[in-house]
Amino acid sequence: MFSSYQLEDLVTPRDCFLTIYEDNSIYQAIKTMKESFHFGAAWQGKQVLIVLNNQDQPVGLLTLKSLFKAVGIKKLEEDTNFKSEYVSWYFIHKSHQEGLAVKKLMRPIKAYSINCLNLAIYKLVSLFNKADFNYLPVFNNGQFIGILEREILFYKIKDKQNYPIIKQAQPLRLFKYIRAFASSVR
Amino acid sequence: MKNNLREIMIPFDQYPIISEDVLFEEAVNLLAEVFIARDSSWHNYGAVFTINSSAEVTGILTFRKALKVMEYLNYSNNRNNLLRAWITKFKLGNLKVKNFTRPLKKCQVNIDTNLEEAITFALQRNLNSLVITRDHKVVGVIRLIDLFWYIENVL
Repeated sequence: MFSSYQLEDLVTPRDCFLTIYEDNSIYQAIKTMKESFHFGAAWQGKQVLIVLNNQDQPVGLLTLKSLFKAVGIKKLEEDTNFKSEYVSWYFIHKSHQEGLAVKKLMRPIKAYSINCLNLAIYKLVSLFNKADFNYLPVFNNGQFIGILEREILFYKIKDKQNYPIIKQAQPLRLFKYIRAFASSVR
Repeated sequence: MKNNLREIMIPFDQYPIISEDVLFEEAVNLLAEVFIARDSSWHNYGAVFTINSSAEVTGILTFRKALKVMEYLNYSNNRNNLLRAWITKFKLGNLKVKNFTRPLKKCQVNIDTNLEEAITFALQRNLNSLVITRDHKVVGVIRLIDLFWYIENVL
């Protein structure tokens, strides 16, 4: 059974992530993301940036997949069917005029987040599996405190102290439990 | 400047592999080992390949999938019927890794595919890594982070 881990033990503090402003261009975002890979130690950095508004408040997360969306948008510009729509022409014109900004690609920070610190570890696993994201922002009393990473969660629950399930499901042990249960019933 | 998958991919022989007949738990152990074995060569593998007795690649187990299986195992532990829970755990705990792997055809691209198509393919299917094949044989893997270094070429 998963033990009740404290969420605070698993969260990566927000200071461990680089930030970028929502009005920055995608090229600036790519550059910052590359720097992020080496933030802290060579090749040990994170693959996500925290997006800030002009009041320095966190408003979104920019992940590798978010940046790749720009490729999808570029493909749309080459799509004849897409360009034939009036609205599409306006979008393409705006994109060329203003450039693709981070805020058009980021995931809003409250779209999927954790607002309670007293969650059992198996509920966190369930949340990640449902959301299918790699990063979930964590809030405490409305304050953004950090990000929970799926990889780190996996590694933590793999730790033997928290993952005895399969080890217990051995035929001999099962038989011992059944025998103990049977004798307690007599 | 590298513009094709051949130059970007991690060769298959450098990727962790495991027999498809080992227990799921062993595969999870291997996944955890390669996760923590971060070194300067930046091979943070998020998956392991499974091979059959003829050394043919049969599937891929990602830590995303492993997490889903772990959730199910824990759910069976929380059920009210203890005996039923133990039987479920017994069945699942002795299942082999091949029962949980993703078939390769869902995440493979040909080695001659261009960068842009490879990125689009990965995004459409929400994949973190692509299996690269040549003549229907697995030759390497590309992760999203490997493609990322060349995103400016595509934009």
